[in-house]
Amino acid sequence: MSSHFNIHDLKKQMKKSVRERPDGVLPYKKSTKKAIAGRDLRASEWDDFEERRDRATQRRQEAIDTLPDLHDQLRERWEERGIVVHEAKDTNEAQQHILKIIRNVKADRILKSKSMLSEEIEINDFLEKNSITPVETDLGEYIVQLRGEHPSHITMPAMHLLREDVGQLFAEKLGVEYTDDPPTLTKIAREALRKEFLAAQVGMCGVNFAVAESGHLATVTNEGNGRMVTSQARVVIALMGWERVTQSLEDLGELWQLLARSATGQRATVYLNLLSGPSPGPTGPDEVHVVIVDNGRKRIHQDPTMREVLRCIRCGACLNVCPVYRQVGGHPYGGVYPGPIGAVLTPALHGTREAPDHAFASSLCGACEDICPVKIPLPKLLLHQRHQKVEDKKNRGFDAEEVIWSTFAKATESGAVFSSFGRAASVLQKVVPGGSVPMPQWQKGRTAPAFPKQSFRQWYEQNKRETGREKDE
Amino acid sequence: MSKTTKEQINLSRIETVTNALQTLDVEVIRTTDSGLGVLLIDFLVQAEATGVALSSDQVISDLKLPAMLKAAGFEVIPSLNQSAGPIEAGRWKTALAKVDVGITSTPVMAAETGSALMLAKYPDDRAVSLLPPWHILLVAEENLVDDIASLMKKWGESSDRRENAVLVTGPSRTADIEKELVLGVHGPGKMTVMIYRSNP
Ligand code: SF4
Repeated sequence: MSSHFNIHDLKKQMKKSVRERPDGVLPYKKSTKKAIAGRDLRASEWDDFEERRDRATQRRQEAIDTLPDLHDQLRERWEERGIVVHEAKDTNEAQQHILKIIRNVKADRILKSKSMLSEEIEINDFLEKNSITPVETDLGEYIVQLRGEHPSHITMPAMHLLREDVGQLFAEKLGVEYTDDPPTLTKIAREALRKEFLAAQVGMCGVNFAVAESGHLATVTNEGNGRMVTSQARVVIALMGWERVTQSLEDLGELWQLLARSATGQRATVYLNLLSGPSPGPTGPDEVHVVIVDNGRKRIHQDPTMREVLRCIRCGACLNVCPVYRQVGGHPYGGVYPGPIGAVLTPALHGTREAPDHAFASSLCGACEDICPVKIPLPKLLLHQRHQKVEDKKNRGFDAEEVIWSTFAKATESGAVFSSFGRAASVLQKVVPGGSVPMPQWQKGRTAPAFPKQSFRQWYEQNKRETGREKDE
Repeated sequence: MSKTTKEQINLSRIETVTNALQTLDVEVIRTTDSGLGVLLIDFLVQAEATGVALSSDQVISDLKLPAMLKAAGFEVIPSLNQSAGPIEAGRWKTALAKVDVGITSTPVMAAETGSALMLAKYPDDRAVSLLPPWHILLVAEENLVDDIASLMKKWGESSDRRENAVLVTGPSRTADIEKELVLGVHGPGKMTVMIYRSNP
């Protein structure tokens, strides 16, 4: 995809991040620690937490397996309630649908509540190029937009920033007096955005789940901006990934609670907005559009192994426990989705050639799978992708790189072999002429790092107490 | 079910929901339907509130709150006429954003999480519970259920569950700056739940 996302240079970005901040990015450590403590508290509150996870995993998988049928049901509901459906197979189609809806009502401004999919289809840049101003209304997104950046976390977009950063930003961009007091900063944003809400013509929201049985478009928020956008604007555009369908309101209730508990340690989010269609009254909305985006999801659906990733409910818990994410943060991943879920999803959506290193951006420690509320086997899927990459190469003929990657892929599947592989590489590098491993393709545009004397595994065993979650709790 | 068991269940739900709401910084008050109006007025006076927006739902009109509050000298925003045009609707919203408190009721609340169902059957309700900085929510004791699963079920008893709706669990909040909790981002920053018992 043509894009300003830089998903090709993951390794370089990660190294850069570690070089710049060898101790890790401070806000990440603090915030992920708090998030996990909250999640663990809420998990311990339910005696049957594990059974509920199992049930949710099963229901999610059933939904994914029957997606075409559930979509048929949704269509019927939406037709009854007057929701207009637009299907987009890729970013370009999604952008065009949205532009048409906005142009139709001659709006030059849209209010957005949080949606990672809107980042995926790069709608803000596109609208700006077409003289339409997108305004982010989630506080974290608002901050990130003012800085001209992308979110660094799925549920906490401004996780990479300290309060001082936000204070300076507001002083600079909004012309207010500098303060680093979060309540005052929040109030400043509230006032700025309140005016926008009251005048809103077009609102755009994400869809956490579409409920097949009732036709509701469910959006989860804490701030109330999702409610504002869907009830105060005349025209609402709901942006939905093709896989975000759940069977019934009962299933929704269960997933919503698991999502809240896993993401932020809340029993429930403050608002669960259930939009079923236009409102006949004077407050609106008069029009509700849903844009269903494929962007590679249907392809993933055809791979019986990768399909499991479509269960994801975007809680972000796997980011919070990931030792790699906690060290380097969200931005080095380059795409929309960082952390373990991003490492799997980015190449799955865009292809391993676009995102060649993501499958390797993990120590395979397994913490992500352990915490995932819908038990997505992320390490297994990473290995699957590494394997796929090798298969791709095979079809393109033999080279040394292929042999080494395939050995590496096999090695990572076996703990013992993997350990020795790491140590062997460090020795190998010394004996190979030129001091380098012969992988010409892979080396293009990369500098060969010296293999450390110690393997990652040896290092991890020694250091996990200081870097992993063991230390925090 | 005997009357005493029913009362015990209600008591334990009230206790559960009170705990759940208090962790969300919600003030919880218990009263009876006959005492509710007087208590509410007292409460508003103490908080130095002057402007009030009321939902047009059945409970609020049955309790005769609009007349009571007007008589007590509060400025009460009249509910929006269903035939109003967009300009009138815009003015109404601006007025709502300026009052001190919005008062609505709920047909069902889940004790475990403190989540209340708000239906857009009365189209005004969504804005009344969203735009003012303070939301007072009235819950009849018999409308308390155990959890979200029971809430969904009870919703289905009186409708086909196809309405626009929202579940509200506490005041608007954010933790987007260094994960520090701040109340009242876009929705109300203050919430009071009045649980009342209907006297036969
Ligand atoms: S993969 Fe699991 S833990 Fe990670 S965001 Fe998705 S649901 Fe949450």
